[in-house]
Amino acid sequence: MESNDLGTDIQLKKSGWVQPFSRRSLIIAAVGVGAAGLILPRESWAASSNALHGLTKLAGGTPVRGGTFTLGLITAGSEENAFPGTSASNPDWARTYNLYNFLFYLNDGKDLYPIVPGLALSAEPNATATSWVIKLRDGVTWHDGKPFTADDVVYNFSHVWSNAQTNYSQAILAGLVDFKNVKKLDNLSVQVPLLRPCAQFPSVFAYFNFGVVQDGATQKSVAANPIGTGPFKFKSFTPGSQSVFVANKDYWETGKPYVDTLVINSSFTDDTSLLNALLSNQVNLVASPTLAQAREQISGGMVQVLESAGASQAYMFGMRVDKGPFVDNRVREAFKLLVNRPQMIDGAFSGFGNVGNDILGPLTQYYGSDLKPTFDPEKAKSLFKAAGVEGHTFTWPTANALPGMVESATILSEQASAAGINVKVQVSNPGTYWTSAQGAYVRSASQNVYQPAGSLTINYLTNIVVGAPYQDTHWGSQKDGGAAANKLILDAIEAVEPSKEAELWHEVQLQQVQQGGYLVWGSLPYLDLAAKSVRGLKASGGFNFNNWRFCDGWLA
Amino acid sequence: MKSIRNRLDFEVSLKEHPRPRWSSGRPLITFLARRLASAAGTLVVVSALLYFVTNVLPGNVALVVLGKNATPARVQALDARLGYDHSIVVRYFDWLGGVLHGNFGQSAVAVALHDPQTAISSTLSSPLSNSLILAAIASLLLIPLTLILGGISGLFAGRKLDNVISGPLLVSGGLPEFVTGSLLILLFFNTLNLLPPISSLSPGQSPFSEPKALVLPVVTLLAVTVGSGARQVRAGVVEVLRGEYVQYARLNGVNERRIVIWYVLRNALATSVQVIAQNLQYLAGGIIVVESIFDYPGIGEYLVQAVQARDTNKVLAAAIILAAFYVLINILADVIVVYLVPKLRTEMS
Repeated sequence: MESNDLGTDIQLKKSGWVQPFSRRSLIIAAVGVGAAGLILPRESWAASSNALHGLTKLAGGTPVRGGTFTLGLITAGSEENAFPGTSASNPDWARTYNLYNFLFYLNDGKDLYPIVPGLALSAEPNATATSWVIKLRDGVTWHDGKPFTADDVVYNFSHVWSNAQTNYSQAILAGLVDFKNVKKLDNLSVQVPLLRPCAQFPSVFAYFNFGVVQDGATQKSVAANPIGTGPFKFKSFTPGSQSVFVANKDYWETGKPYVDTLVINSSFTDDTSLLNALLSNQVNLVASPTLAQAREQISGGMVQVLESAGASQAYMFGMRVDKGPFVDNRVREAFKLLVNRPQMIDGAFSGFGNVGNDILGPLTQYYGSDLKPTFDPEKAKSLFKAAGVEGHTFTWPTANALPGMVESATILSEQASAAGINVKVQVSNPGTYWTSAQGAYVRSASQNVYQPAGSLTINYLTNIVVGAPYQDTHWGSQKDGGAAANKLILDAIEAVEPSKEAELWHEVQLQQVQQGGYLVWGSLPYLDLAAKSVRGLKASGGFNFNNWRFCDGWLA
Repeated sequence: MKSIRNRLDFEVSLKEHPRPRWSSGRPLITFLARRLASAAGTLVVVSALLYFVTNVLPGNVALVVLGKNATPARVQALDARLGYDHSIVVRYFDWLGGVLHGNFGQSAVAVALHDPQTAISSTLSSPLSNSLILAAIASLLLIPLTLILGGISGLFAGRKLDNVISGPLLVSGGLPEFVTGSLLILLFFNTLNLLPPISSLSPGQSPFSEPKALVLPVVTLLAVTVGSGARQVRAGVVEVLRGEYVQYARLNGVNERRIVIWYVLRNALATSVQVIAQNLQYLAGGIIVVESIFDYPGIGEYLVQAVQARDTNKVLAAAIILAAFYVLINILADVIVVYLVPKLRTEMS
């Protein structure tokens, strides 16, 4: 085994969440926080100084055993499934995060890093970060009683995570992991060789498609009977209707879960009926209510509102840099200058969330929070004029797929007119917005919302580098300097020495702010609702209900 | 003498106008047979329209179902599994043949997700029976309420009782279902806390296990349908009351109760049947909105989810069932009207 370049081993706690997995990464995080002034004070969250906020955690106390959590969600219909690799909606994630475990999880503090152990206790790189040894947790059993071992993890690498059909986020690992040579070192250790260095490699496994399935599991077997290591066991599942899970009495987080049953009611097609169900106690938890409902309940107080301290869901307008009307960087820069972001937060986010600064990856390590956006519609006007597009009409497709999308596009249109530019908002079908039927990842102008990822590496591998699966802007393909820009990102991903990492990521992000195709105008926190009787649950920037951790809660 | 004379006249008439050989002498059955044949033709045309319209919408179904992670190879494989590599005409006739045998095809989404259960037929029974129960309860109340309220209102037209009935009916009939439903929730749940605001059911759970949960959806459906239907029944009653034969009966001293039942209501019933049939047909469409408001797992919610998922075969299955329901109600209404109006039967024979 090669030496651990990340520092000394740590002492782990056996129950509940554990400390960050290395002292070195903790130091790096602290330096990062100090240098960048990363976290905005809570008072400045809301654009409106009178806006109120939800709770970051519900009341605690002595847990009470028994009862049923019933989670209400807007349906994803017959597309719902229980396979982690193909999970693509709130109902899917609520299920997979409770049936299965991940090797690592996003931090539940104000930032998403450092990631925390799950089924893996640590991941140790060699000196060049081209090979990692993942140490697994002992004493974990599958729902069918079999022990969790390195064979399960090797199977996931070779048969699940490497295959685009069984893992929608396979592209993150493609070209990075040497799948053929992933091997078991012993019963609780797996060696993962990489095709190129990657210092933030372990953060991949906190991403929502990387739940760990049992050795030999297939989509077909999981559709019939999903077996995981998670806090709840499968009892029944009807897509677009309801899933019922029962407490796993042998769960490795000792003493959890507290409730006997978790019911996920994903039959709702309407936000109003979903809220009514909560108010009438037919459900006691609701994930992702509308922003207006959340705002109303914070003032009204009929239910508890959870709001994550960190806003990590990045909302952006995408402008293609290699062809079309946004090739000229003056046009891209002008759009970034004309947007009044606090006004956008108030109008599209009902006052929730933070102003964005045109870069992805809020709350991650090396995130450039020192890079502030500028509002200057007059300069925008002159840039449009210099670029010869004054009075031009830009068509911007959007869809009511997620809260605030159509609203923000409409506000953009209004703000653009002040700079002498017409933006025609084209509202599309949300069901097909992100498919090739609507020109997804090909169209010149776009809108997108990105789920938080554990590191800038994942953000850029999924959305920005050449060949990324969700590449709206086609950054790296522009004629002038595209190849060099792409190389800069790859260099940052491959940097091992922390100061070099920090320097390169800052340079990458500065380039994105000055020339990139993303206008990231804001980021939204996770908002959830809970009945008054619910205790113990938390909010975090990783996902709804702090990575869907219903095992932490109970009913008073 | 008089009766023999009448009989001779009748026989003479018959010789001059012989009954066609093909006529069975049972005009109602003949009429029914013709209507059923016409209904079958209508459904075939509707099925063709539905099939072609849903299949020419922009976007490949496999692409939509596979989502933003679709690769060309996966799309091609799914297309082949779903039969989309054949021409649309071939696919239509395959599908139609299946439907005639109760096979509505496979769910594209279930196939894409390797679900062990891909047949649509098995997913239809529960939502269909839930909707039929809701519609049946609404219908059982709709018919008597429409007739009684419309009849009373018409009989007392212009008087206080008419105003008391017609006023609220005018309002409830004019409001869309989602407004009525929301107002009822506001009153009976938010304010009075008497009834649940949603009618959610677990898979396999009978609607009758939570009867309170059915009240608001049924009342919402009734508010819209009775509101409009009773006003039309009222109009029919008022028109019949103005008829000469009613005046004649009154002048001849016929008892008012007998006039109302045998003359007025019976004759107003014919137009009332058409009105009620229209409202029953409306239930097919209105139920979609009501099921969504109250989260009731019926065919309406099934259709909404299928449309959102772009699962074309499921959309077709739900739509053709609703169309068949629509056509069936039409036939039933026509047959009842013919039965009630002897003149129509005589014209047929």
